[in-house]
Amino acid sequence: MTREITVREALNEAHFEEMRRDEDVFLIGEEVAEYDGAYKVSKGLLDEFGERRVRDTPIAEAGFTGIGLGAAMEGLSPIVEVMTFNFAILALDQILNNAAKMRYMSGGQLSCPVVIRGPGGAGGALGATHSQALEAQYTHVPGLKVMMPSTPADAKGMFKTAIRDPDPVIFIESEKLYNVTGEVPEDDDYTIPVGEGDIKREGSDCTIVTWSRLFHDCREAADQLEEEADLDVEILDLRSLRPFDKELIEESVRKTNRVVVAEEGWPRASVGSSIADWIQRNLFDWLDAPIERVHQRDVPMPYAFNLEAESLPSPDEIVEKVKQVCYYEF
Amino acid sequence: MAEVVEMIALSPTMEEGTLSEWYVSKGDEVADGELIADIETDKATMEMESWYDGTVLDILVEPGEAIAVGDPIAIVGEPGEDVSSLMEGDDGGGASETTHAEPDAKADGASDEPEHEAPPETPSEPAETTAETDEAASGGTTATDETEEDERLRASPLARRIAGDKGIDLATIEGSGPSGRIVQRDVERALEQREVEPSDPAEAETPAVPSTTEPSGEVVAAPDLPGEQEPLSQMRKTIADRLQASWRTAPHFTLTRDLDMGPAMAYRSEINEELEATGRDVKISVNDLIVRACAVGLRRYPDVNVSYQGEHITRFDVVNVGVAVAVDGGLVTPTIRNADQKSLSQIASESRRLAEKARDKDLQPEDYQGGTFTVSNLGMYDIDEFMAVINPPEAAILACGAVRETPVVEDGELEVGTRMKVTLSCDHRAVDGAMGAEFLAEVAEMLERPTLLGV
Repeated sequence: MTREITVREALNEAHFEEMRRDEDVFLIGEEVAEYDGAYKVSKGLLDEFGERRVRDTPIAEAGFTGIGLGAAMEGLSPIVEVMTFNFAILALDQILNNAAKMRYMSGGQLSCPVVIRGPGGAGGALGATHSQALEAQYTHVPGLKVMMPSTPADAKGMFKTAIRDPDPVIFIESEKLYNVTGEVPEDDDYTIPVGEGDIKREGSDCTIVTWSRLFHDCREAADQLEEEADLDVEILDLRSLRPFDKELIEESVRKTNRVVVAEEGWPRASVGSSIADWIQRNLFDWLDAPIERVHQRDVPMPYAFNLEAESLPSPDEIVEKVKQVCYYEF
Repeated sequence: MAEVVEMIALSPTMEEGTLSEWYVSKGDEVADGELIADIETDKATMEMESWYDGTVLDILVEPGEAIAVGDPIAIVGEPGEDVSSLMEGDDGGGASETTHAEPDAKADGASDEPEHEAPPETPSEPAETTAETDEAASGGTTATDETEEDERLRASPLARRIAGDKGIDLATIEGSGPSGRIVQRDVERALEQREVEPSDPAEAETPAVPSTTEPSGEVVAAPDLPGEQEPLSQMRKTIADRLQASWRTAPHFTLTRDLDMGPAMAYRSEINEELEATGRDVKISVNDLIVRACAVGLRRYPDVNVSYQGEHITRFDVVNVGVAVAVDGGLVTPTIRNADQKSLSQIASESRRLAEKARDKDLQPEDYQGGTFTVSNLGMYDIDEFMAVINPPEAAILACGAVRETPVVEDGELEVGTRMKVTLSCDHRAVDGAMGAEFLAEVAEMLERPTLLGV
């Protein structure tokens, strides 16, 4: 049985279910309690679970993230909400130097099962400092797990997995996806394993590797490509950026022989560039064309709506790159 | 930073373009989007725009030159800039990787996609980088060996692997990707071609050519009318392939002459009577006279006995004259080898033997390969005159009409003449009009003074 709900509702449900299932799960962050969360993901949690498990904090990311890490090391299962991942930059020392290193540096004596979650990416005229897709910062670091859902079902199943995972998980949502609806299984134990990608559209001519919000642009592009160019595109939603699903990528690339990697963030030292790197080193003999990439312009995000649209990757760009790797114009 | 302006693909099928006119010259300032040249593509004459702002520092090709897509045609930069390193780099395959090869690359702008950054600032670097890349890629050829770099075969890794698995020589495949890159579909096409090749050698009458493209690669769709589809025979495919290639690549021009065949017909009757009277089992045809005349003519005018080979022209030492023979389902051109050294009766018996083998589909490769010139005769079909498509890689073909009685003016008097019209098609890449005309005059002289044929 499934029913159609939004990403926001799916995440909210996951909070309720996991907090009911395990008394050690608690939520901490700015405005998560009295205000129901800046994006209303924590709506109703304070009423059911009370102040002890749903705690508002001062505007001090390094501080409350550190509290979360300490609680995790002591055996609790904290969820740290950052209002957006632009603000988590203030807590990077806690995340990179403590959360990611704790198990390693303690020789396995300590673990840090914290989930740090919140939205990332552009939200619509939020300006250069509040519109960044920063997943590369975390995907870069051994010791962290990074997950980014694109649909309500994935959001719920992946978030429940993140809470139950024994390691620190960076769970990045997209501001623009909170209202996206989709079918979600009615199952309290619906989880999606870390590191498992998903073929969201089967095709034979080209694989688009993508995740989070860009998946929806890719789907639009794939429909357009089918209609106007008769190209049959496969969309691989990576879902977990660290670790990532190498088997699924290999299976898909061996079938399609052509790859476009589409991401919201900047081009240099990005998650997309590292995926492309892995593919060309491991699947070279299966490639019929150089891997192409779609990404944000390499500039700070402009504030104006029209310039923001110009800066972000678009379905048209994805269409163009797929045609390119399929030698469509030749 | 100076930029190399490259020939771009102005049509989807364009592989090279001829620069027909420059609108700028060295020292001119150009702006992004400004018209700089007219390019003749395989389809039409197109306008080419600059993608760069700056001064034209050098013009690398002359009007009339054919330039492959991706090859440099000009350099744009700041006045006084040292462009020597760019010029060196141009010879390597790497140059096109670092500069904008496609119009859309420009739209992205350098700042938004650093992967497409302009070449490094230091003048000496691009050339070195290019050399290193190519050296590594071609497995250790010397960086100065430019010829080898140019000839490096471009193929996608997948295409290489499939070709390796299936035992196909990539060098026989024409690539359809950017810069002629061989990609999966090209190898698959070649494989399909190989699979339909007949096991019976008799089916492969015409000279085998590497089947690079589907013969019907560019066709206009047939109207939706009742009818049946007949699959292409291998012979039909080969004819389509070769003549399409010839028609597309060899600029044909034709020269027609009206020959007085009276003396030749009389000469032929005389010989045939003598042959019959002495019980020799051979008969000379008009076509044998023409073959002999052409063979002797080619010996005297070796510049027609040639093949255009892109980088050079091959002038053959031997004269092998092919004779087009219509057979069931197509035509073949068995070859009379060293025709210039053979007598009329040798030519006659050999062409008889070959024509029979052709009709019996029994020709062996040595019977039809190695022609340097072809004679095609439709006289027996009462054709007045026609123009033949050159049989590649030859450079000329002689098309002969019927010998017929026709009114002619001789010394101001109207008389009944015996005439034949012949049309020589020449590949203008190798043979010019005057050369073709001289050769044709020699052929005419031999046929109009046929005793020369016996000399």
